[in-house]
Amino acid sequence: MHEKENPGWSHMHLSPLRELRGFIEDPVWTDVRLGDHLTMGGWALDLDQDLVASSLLS
Amino acid sequence: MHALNLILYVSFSTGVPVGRLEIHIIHFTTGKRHKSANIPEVQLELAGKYNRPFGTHIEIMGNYLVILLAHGTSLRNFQTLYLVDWIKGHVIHVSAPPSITFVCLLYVLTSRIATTLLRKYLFPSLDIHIRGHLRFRA
Repeated sequence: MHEKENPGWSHMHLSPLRELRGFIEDPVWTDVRLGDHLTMGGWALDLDQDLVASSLLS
Repeated sequence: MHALNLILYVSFSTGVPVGRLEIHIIHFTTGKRHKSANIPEVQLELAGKYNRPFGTHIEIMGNYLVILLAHGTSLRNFQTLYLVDWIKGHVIHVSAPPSITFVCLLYVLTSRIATTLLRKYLFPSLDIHIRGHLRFRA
């Protein structure tokens, strides 16, 4: 977990649908970074909408 | 979205007095601005004072965000609730915290002494007269 600097997250694609579609590969972490000059406050995640709402203080 | 994503970590701060408070609408998988959001950065006006760290809690309800902002001073805490349409990108409603004056006035008016003193002026006894005779008193 980061403190203040470099806010963001990492996610991994674990859907079995990828194997069914022929994508056989080792899952890897994908980093998402939002910017060094921002401080992330609260956040909420909605996977169905591929949505993150985050309060950023600047 | 059918993919199962696992969020590993999210950085956050304990909060400090800041110049601007923005809600960013972004894609979880890329971190880019969300394509459905007309305005990717929604500015929130902060009512009330603060001189110490404050926190935010966000809930997503379809097209709307409910944002609870807890802030305050060493003397008093505030909680402001925002309802935001994240697709249109504007704040629909803000629950403004009551002012200090209003809170003090409310406290005085609801105190036992004030209630006793004001009752006979504000809520005089109800007399119902029928044909000139007293029939009911509340």
